[in-house]
Amino acid sequence: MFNEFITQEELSLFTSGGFIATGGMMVSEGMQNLWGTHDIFVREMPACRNYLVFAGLEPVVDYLLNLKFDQAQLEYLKKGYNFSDEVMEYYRNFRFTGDLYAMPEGSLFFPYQPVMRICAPLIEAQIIERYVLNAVMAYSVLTTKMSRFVHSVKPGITTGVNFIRAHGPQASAIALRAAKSVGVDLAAMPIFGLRNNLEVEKGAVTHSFISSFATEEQALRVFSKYCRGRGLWLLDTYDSMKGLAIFIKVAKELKKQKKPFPNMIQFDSGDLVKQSKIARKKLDQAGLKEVKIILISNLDEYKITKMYKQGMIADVVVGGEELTTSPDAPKLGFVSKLSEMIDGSAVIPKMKLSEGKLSYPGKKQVFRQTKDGKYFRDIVGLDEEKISGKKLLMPIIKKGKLVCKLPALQKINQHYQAECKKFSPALFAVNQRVKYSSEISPALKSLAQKTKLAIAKAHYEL
Amino acid sequence: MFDEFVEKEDLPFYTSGACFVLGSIYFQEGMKDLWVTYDVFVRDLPENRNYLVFSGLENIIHYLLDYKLTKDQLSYLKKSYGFPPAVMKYYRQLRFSGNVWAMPEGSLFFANEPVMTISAPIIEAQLIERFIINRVMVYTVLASKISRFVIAAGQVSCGLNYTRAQGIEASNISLRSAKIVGAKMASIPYISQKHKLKPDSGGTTHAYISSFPTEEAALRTYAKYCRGKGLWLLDTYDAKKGLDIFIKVASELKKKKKFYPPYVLFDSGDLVKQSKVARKLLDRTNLKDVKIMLLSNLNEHRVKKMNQQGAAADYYVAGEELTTSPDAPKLSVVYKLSEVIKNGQPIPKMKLSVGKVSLPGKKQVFRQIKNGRYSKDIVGLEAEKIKGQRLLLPMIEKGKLRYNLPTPEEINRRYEKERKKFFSNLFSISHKTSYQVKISPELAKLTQKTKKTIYKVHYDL
Repeated sequence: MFNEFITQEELSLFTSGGFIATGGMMVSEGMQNLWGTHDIFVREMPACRNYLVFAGLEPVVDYLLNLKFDQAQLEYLKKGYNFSDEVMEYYRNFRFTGDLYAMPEGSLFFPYQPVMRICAPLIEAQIIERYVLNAVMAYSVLTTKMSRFVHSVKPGITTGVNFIRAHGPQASAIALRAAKSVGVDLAAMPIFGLRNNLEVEKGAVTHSFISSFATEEQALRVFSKYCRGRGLWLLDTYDSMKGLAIFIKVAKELKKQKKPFPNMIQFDSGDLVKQSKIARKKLDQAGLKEVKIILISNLDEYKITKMYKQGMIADVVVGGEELTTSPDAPKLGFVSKLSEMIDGSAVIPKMKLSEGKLSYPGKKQVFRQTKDGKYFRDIVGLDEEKISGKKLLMPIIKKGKLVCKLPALQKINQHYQAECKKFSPALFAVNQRVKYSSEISPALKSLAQKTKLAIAKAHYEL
Repeated sequence: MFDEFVEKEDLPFYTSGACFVLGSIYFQEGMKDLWVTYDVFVRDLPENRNYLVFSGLENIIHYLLDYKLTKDQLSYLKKSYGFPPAVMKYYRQLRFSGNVWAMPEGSLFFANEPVMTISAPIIEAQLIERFIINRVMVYTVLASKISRFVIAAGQVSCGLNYTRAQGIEASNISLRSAKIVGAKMASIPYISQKHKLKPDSGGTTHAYISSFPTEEAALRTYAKYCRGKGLWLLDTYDAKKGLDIFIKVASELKKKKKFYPPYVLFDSGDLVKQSKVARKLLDRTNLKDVKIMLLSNLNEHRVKKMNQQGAAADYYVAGEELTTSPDAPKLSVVYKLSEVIKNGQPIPKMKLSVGKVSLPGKKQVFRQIKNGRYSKDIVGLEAEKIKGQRLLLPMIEKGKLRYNLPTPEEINRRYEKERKKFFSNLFSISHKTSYQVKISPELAKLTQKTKKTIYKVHYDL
């Protein structure tokens, strides 16, 4: 059977065979102490994004701190690549021994800003690249999408996400964490509740439940008996307006008898706005003001924005695969690029010159500048430069050891919320493109010029 | 730390808490032996797809055969929902005891055709819904996307860089999907180890090359260790100059009968132009054996264009354009009740809500052939006698496996064979072609009747 599930221990082989093979060559050539600094960044903003939310640091840190090859993996390396004893000894003792600087999770970022800066022996830096890119991409794509969804919903309205239609259960987990980190209210699934001690999902009724009874009314009466005044009721198993009439009849009767009935009703098909308006009016007229209305469908920030314009009345809005797969920007071209090499005491700036794939050299920092209490510009400069503004890249791991306390999910959400408030609200527009200013410092530009010349000279004797 | 890893034994909890709550209601109302039939299907093909490749069945079958709540899961249920002891006992003993019919993996399918039908006790049938939807969606999305790419690449072999997917599990799924639809190079050490495949010899990296004082020194070292395998990147600094260096070193090593990397790779700039120049220069210098690999953010449209422009490629390697399927990253796979079986009597069921109608009854898909080519599919009732190949086959009966699960290679062979029986215009990547799928008259009749019954029972119309 093809087993697609992966455990933390297996991650060390989530890399390219090429990295393992070239790692072996570098050991044989005595190059294992050559260090390099890599920047992790994206070159372009997706067409329908004004900002990106950085996420995935926690899993990356966890991976780096626990990285090693176990006995079975070592045997595979020996057999698969026929390494010498010296190389095998190197891989047996292999750990992450480098430094990691990163933006705090939940930070907003923009193209050409390193979200992580990893300084490590080159062999390590290569082997970790695939997982780092995978994690940072998946988490940032989904967190950014969830962030847009939450921004499109007005304050006071509860948001929720259904996680089924994601790119596998692990992607569901990533989506769930993404949702929680940007403040989605209803984000739960028993599998993640158990593993991560999160809240219990109370859940709803299903169309199948209703269909399995002789009549809709009978199904509702049975459900009410067990619901203890919670839970929600679906109105559109057969016909939503008739379903509404049945709900009102039964709920009124149960209310009079002081018996529990479901406290929320849900529409998940047809014209949601129109149905929500009618339902609110009829519920209020029937003395059922406390019953809340949930709209659930393939919702996203675009549909929510449109539904507000049409006068939607909802207490809760719930999205699904439009959020968990981020179809308008399902990928991000995160890259890991060498920016300097460290050979003993010599630091050699490096950059990529190939067409359309430029990278900047040197040890960098991102400076976020404030004016009148709002962020107005970022400068990507050199770490040692004196530039005003908040430094975004913080030390996380030094020489393989954790040097900070990683924040819990709630803390990440608080940081994210506080940061969002410092940007101009225009940045969070769903439909308008707004460009936040992010510049390259003059010192970094001149280092890039110098590096380019040095490379051309060294390699092609120009 | 937030633990995102999912293991097989966690999967019974990949469901909605509500399904456990509703399950306890069924149990307490004495409805646990009510059987139901569900269809798994897609209502509409995505705009950019003429067909879909069914995939993910193997995992679903293993999930169903091994379905069992763990001790931790049971105590979580007890604590979270306070179920009575009889309900807890039911959950403790719960196994999948139903029947599964499905299309074999690698089958092409279309809108409104059930790819699976599941008959089971109602509590089981509801608990497994989410995992099945998730599985069918992600496997099918990725297999369908990669299928388009491999077909567009034509004679050129295909490879996949799995790094940029929506999670590592999605990377793994894209690798399996790639194999099913015939991409040749799709491996990762972790999977090779787990599945005892040949190790991925892999390439070199820009960082490796940059770590040497010169490109030439890097190449000479690499050649020393590569044992005649591996590939060489030409565009770390300047692709044209990188090619000159490769040719100089490789011809020299060839003369001395020493090893050099058998592949060169371009991953930036004008790939078509560079590949043509490289082929010419390599051939001219007696390096005909060196193959050219083009790697970039490729997709089916780009390789089709590159083929038209005469790219001299032996390999196309794609990345996130395939592993995230940006032009159709999701699929609205649904799981809909089609009948309830009460005391051995099936009662047809369907959904009537606007835009979300489903069809009642136990169904079968019949694929008809005319002059050696598939001409149309009929979605009918399992009991009907309609000519054509029956696509839904029994996989699990009363919780027991009744089918020999094929390996990915066998799935690929089946897929290739089936594919050739469709008209080739179905595989056009830029033209919309719609393959004919009809509803049988019997099914149409049952639909009308069920609709009427539902209205009568529920609304006295």
